[in-house]
Amino acid sequence: MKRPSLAAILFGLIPFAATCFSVALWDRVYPMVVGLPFNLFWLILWLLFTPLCMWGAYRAETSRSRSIQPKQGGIR
Amino acid sequence: MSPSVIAIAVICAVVAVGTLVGFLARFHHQMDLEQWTVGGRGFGLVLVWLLMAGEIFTTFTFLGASGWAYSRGAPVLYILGYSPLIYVVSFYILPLIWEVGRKHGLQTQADFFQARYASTYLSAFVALVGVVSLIPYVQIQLTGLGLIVEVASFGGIHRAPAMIIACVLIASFVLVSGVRGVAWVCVIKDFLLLFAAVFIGLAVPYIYFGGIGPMFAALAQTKASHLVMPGPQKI
Repeated sequence: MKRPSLAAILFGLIPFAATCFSVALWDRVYPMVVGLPFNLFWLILWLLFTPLCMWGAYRAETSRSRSIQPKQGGIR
Repeated sequence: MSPSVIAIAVICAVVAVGTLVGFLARFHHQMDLEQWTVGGRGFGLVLVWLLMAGEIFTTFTFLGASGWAYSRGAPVLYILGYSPLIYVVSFYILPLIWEVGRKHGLQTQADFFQARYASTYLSAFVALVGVVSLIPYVQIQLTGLGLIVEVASFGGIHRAPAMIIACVLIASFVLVSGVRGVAWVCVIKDFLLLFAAVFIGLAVPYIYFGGIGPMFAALAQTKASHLVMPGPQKI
């Protein structure tokens, strides 16, 4: 077992910062975007951005494990 | 044909197909305990993806979440917040658990505690806590199932028989096919639920308000406090 790299953890913290730790900043009705209240729009936006962050975390992890040791694939 | 007869026919067809798939999932697999509990650790990428994406849809989607959104408003947005964050946390934990499980041939949570702490009492306790914790969850899901079937069949199928029939069918295909049965039935359930949720989510605003935007505009005008978290007004 190995710990995740700092870069991977930082990538994972982005969605937390954007949704979990900042409710007061985005919890409002106006401006409405594409007909949605701003808070709903913001959360849907991060539903789409979170996979991008995790792609970054995955890239950070795989590039590290490749440079340290050849690792066999996870899920067959 | 009355709407009730059509509804009951649709429900029976879906249940029949689901149960059949549950039993058929066993095919082409030599069934041993590892195959039964963890699918021989060989679920493919697509199946795992479908399961992880679809497992968040349950009877809660139709009863709890929508009911809460109707009665309390914005706090229900926590679902949109926590759903992606679960997978963020899982990214750092689950691959390690998978690796340990494969290395030591673990099949249950209790197995993990047995391997890690070498204590039969602890692992038995973990197994007990796991089962006891699932009872209220299963209870809620079954009650939700009974309610949905009763309403969807226009009262044609009562709650109690629906729950008993569902319980017997699920228990039998799980007994026969193990986690593979659950997984493939889940895939069907995921697509049906997603279709129903998207359909209702688009149809209701369009029929009653002429669109999603007009619906929220009307809601913001009549009860804006319903659209934000409770507390000092900001809007």
